[in-house]
Amino acid sequence: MIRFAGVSKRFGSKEALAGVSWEVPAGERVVVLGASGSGKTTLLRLITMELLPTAGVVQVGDFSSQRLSGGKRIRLRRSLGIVFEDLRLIPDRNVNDNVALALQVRGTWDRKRVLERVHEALARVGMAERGHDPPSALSAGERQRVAVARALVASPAIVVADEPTRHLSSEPVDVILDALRETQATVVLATNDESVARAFGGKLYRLANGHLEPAGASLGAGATTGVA
Amino acid sequence: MGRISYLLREAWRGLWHHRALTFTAFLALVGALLVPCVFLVVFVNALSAVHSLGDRREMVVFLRDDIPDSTRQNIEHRLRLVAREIKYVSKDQAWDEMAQELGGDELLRAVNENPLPASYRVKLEPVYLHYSAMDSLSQTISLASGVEEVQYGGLWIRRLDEFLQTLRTTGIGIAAIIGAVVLFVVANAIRLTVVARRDIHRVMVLLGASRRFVRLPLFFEGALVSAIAAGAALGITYLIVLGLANRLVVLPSFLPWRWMLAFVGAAAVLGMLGSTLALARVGREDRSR
Repeated sequence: MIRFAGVSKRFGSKEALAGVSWEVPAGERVVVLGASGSGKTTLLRLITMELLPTAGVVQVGDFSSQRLSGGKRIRLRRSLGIVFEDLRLIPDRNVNDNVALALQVRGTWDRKRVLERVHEALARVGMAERGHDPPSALSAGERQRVAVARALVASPAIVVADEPTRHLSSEPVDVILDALRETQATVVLATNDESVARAFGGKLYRLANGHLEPAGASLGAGATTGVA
Repeated sequence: MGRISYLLREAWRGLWHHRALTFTAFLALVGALLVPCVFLVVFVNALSAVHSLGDRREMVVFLRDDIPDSTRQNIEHRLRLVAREIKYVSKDQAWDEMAQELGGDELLRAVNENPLPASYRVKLEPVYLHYSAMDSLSQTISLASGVEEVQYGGLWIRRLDEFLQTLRTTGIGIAAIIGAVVLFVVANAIRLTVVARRDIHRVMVLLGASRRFVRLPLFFEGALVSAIAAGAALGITYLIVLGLANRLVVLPSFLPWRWMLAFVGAAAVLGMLGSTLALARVGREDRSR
């Protein structure tokens, strides 16, 4: 469960979020749709508690932005799967090692088990054959898929995906959306592409001028939009 | 991907990623570690020479003439408490020995009676083989009834002790200076690595890595580069010893295995301390931003 109670976030004089109250029940899929610079990334970084609110409280599972010690922050992050907008793959590790990192930080060290899970996660995004390649040998779209695999490999309770289809050019969007849709986790997907939002399905919110509003009825899972 | 292999791979990755910096730090460390390494070889050889001299350290207790057997036995009993080997030389044996040394007894025949005293030649327990203990013992023994004089070569034993003490003090001084140099070199190399990999460490933290997870490979990195440099310094010193062996009459011995392992281990610990200093400094810089 994710709960925002009157959350505001200011950067100097600019107010990125203004008194947002919002709740995402466990297991739900939601899409936050907003133009570039509308505050989507700020909203997601508040969920990961990379940022703390200027006012209000963010509650993610058992973790509250009001009482966040170093140890709690680590435990919170381990309950999340994050797809960063800029991907943040580690350049001097191959694909397998990049994905394995999400398991290793959680204390999974058994080599066989790690490789099995890494292979499984990469297979879900069609990248199982590229495990030994460095990120520099991949296209932008392939790197995007690896970033999604890394977010899903540890079966997190909550997945936070910031523009997870942004780097896809020729590759089909469905591979990534299907992988995100098939997880049992609560998923928060932020995008500025309405067709992606509709293709993903789930509850749609619009973010504009720091305000988050529901955008009508929930979308059906995998609604056909012609997005390829 | 076991934890240890992960740590070693991460450490190696860090070193390889900054190989120019690593190589510079490595050369500086080898140069610095050569000094204590050569000193240790000198020290080991000096120690071995001193010990072989020490084995010859002997105390001679001269007895008065015509003391009763009970007094002699009493002296012998007291000497056995501090000796690992004791030999009684009677007046006649002393006479024979001197005659043998002089190559005949013509000169001695000129003397009417045997002037040489009986004596005990005492090899002391190792614990007494230094100047202050031998001096104190000789004073105590010379006060015993029936003892004429005690000789133990006090001057050269004192010089030997002083030489050993100087070696030890110099060793501690060198260790302190080189320790500081190693800390400085490793701390700076690791600090640059930490700064260069800051973004990667941030990603790890966002994925849920603990501080220990991020930092442990950096400790290994410091330890690894220092230990390899110590191994290289040992290798170079060994070649120096081999080179000298052809020119010297006395073959110098190299460090025992245990000393070499201790040397590499000490370098690795210093490397870890250097990493600790680097991380503390980077942490302070981050907090002040």
